[in-house]
Amino acid sequence: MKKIIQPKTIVVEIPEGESSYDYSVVGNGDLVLVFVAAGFHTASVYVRIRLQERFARAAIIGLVIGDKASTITIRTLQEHVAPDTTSDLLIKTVLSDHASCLYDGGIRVERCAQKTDAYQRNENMLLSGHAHAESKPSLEIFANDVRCTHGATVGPIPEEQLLYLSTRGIAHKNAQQLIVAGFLSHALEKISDLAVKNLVSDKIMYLVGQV
Amino acid sequence: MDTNTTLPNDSYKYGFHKPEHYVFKSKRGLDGGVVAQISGYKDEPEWMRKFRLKSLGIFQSKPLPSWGGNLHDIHFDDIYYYLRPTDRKVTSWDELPPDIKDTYDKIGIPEAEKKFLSGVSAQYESEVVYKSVQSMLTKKGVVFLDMDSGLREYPELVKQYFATVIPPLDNKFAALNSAAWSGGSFVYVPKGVKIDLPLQAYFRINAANMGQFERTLIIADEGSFVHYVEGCTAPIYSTDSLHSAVVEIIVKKGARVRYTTIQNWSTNVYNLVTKRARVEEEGIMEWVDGNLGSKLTMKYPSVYLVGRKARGEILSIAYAGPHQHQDAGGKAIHAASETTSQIISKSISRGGGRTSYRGLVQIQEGAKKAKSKVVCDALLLDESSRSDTYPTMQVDEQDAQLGHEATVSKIGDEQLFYLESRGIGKAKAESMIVNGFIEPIVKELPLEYAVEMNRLIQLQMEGSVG
Repeated sequence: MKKIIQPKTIVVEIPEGESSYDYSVVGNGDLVLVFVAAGFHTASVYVRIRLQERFARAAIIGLVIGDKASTITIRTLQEHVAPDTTSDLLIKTVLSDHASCLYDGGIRVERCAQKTDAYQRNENMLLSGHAHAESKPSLEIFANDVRCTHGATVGPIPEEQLLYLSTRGIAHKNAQQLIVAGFLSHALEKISDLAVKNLVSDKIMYLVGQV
Repeated sequence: MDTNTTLPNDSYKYGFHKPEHYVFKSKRGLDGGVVAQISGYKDEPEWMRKFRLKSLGIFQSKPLPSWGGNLHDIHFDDIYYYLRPTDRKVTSWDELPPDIKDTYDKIGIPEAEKKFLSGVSAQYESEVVYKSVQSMLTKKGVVFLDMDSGLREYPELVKQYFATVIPPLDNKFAALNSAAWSGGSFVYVPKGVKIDLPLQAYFRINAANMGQFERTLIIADEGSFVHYVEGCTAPIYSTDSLHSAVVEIIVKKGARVRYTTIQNWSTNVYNLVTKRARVEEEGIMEWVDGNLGSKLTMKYPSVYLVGRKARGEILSIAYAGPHQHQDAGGKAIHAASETTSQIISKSISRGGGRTSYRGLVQIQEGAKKAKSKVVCDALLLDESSRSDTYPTMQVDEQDAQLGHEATVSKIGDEQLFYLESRGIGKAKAESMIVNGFIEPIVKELPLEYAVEMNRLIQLQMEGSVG
């Protein structure tokens, strides 16, 4: 388990096969973990963030692009073991062809972790009728003075957005790419480090161009 | 309340019980002999006897579920699986034995009747002993019987639908019920018939270590409507009781069924219930499910949307006080196009209680343009309580739109401050906020249940703050 003692932004590309990331955030630590998964065949990733001391903060941003017959399993755990801690997770997946994604994430707030603010959100966009998305966001709360919220959505490309772009003369394929890029880029608002933000943004534009 | 009645625990409003008085009681435990005895005693057709015995085998071979609540303290061999309180059924209130009448008086059946509710079928122990079906129902061709009479009088209809929605292989407790069932309701609503007033049945357990295994089957034929209401209160006993019902509902094309339950078992009862509805084209199924009592409840009312444009709605309230675990939720299976579902769950944990929301939304391939929305809100009232949310979403169709949202929080300080600054005491203010929190579901209940629900919450809450 790696210790985060100060504000830090980490960007990782999820490799083929199994991988895991385990961080413990202490007092003044403020972790922003961005992971990008694309071009994999079979990937399985486990992310565990432990909010170890008072005022520790963490944000987890996951961006997943699955195509062909690729499958990915994402497991996350936001563990609050100290009071006044904050965690915020957002995982966005775009699935085309026969791609499938399983998201299984948990927030656990221990009895001592009062005033926890924890958030967890999983959004899936399906571009093909053969894609499969499964989402299991869970909450286990033992403290009462907390704010814990989670949400999950699964849906196609919004038709009205496609229509809007088509009426402005943008070809279907381009319109689709623009909407997908917009969907994924929305997650980048949480990154305060501009250099990192631009880097990830460029990466997304490149990957979306490949789809 | 009658002063002659013993009150084992005065904190529980309905915690009275009457001396046991039975005509027939099976031995403890369940084996082939007991199952055959139950079936023989009821003089059932051969297929039902075989079905029970086959189900017994399934029950014995299936392991206990590894998830959910703690089930290891149930001693299946210590339970009486069948009791029959009186030797015949009665059709009017005056014919009921006095002690049973007295019990019902306390839970308010005469009042219900006075209010011209359309039919009352009350269950005392394993058998329906009191029944009054108004002539309106008969005239419309509606069948509203206890399940045993249903099997006797409509054997073909029962055989056609029985266990088609929940087969015994579904889960261990469905198998147990299939082997040992007795009582429950059988409802058939003919094509196009709409029943304006809710059908009601009252359930009651009254023997130590006694399991109740009601079996309810509701068939709503094309274009019909029925609202079935089930409410229960049970006395407190020192040993654990098991309640494991199966409710199957068939909603045919264009029909609508609403099934309302307020479960208030005493806090030593295991309430492990399987409820499921199959909804055909343009049909609507609504579950309104309130869980206030029991030691452990595991209950996930389900809708299987098998016809185009079928709709399912599940409204669930769970309240867990000291030593209670409410593991409730709902399931929506979308198997046809343009189907829609909505699950709304509100839960409250207090005094070390635990509430869990467990749910599944599945959109199968081919269920084009299916839509589903799930909202779960949980309130944690003190430091020793616990709340969990375990939703699962499985999507195999691109056109589907699915959303899930859940929130866990405590009573808002600002809300409390606002009320307190207007001179309302803390306990009163908290109970007002909790009642406001569950309001969206309570307003869907029939009036007398809504009133009782609010009163129960108030009682629990104001007793809780010292």
